[in-house]
Amino acid sequence: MGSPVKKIMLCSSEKEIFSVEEQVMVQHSVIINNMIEDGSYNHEESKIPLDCVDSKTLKKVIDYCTHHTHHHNDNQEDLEAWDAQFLNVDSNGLYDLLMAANYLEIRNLLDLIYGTIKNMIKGKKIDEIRRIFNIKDHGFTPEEEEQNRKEYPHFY
Amino acid sequence: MDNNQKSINDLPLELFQAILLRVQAKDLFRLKFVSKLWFSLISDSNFVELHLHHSSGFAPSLFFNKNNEEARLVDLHALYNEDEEILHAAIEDVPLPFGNNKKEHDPYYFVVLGSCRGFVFLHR
Repeated sequence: MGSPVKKIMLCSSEKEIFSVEEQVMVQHSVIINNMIEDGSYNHEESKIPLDCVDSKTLKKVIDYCTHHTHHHNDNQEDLEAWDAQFLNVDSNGLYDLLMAANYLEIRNLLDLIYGTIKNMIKGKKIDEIRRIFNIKDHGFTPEEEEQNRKEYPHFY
Repeated sequence: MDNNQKSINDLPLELFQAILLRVQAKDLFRLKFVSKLWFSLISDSNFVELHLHHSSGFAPSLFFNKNNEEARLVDLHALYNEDEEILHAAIEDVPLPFGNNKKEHDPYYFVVLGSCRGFVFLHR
């Protein structure tokens, strides 16, 4: 019989506790890896407080890390399809995931989200970008805006 | 509810900047006119420097003069790729401005002398 799987506790902003395989988080999160390595996490009593990550987002982050730990030998196509499905969320969900991945320093998830947002910008007209990213106040004066539209009509 | 929809501008600046760093330089100029914030971020000289390192780190390229109408852009990393499709895409023909000025006495006759950090050195 092998030794039992080591678990760590993560605590969301709603104080909900998530028990996760230690190896899963250590492999993906630089921050959690550091906490385990320097001994600041006590397996008997510690919970890692993630005050700026809500339960819904934390659950997604754990899903991502778990899948990529247990399926890293899958072929690239399957992993990319899984990633695409994983990021099929609304823009708020995407920003929340980005903030969480940044906070926990999960580099492959960060790159995935950055790439996704970059592709959402690519080739789009300015009016479309303002709508997709919910930019209500562009900050230009009416005169500046009119001037820009006149000078670069094909951008809009 | 639509009112709860966050804006990309609610993201911390460093995260938003990291997104812009991944956008191709040729698209950045257009993005300046999305909002004043984007305008100042993209115009910032530190950002320009960061962007250059970010993009050139991914695709160091050389610019060769092919003839007076066209130049060739060679992606040095892709040259060593075994995937044929990527290898084929490594070399790209780029039309030169004023390419129809073929003779030395044409008003906009230029010779490409070289390229460095995204700039092309023309001589007439």
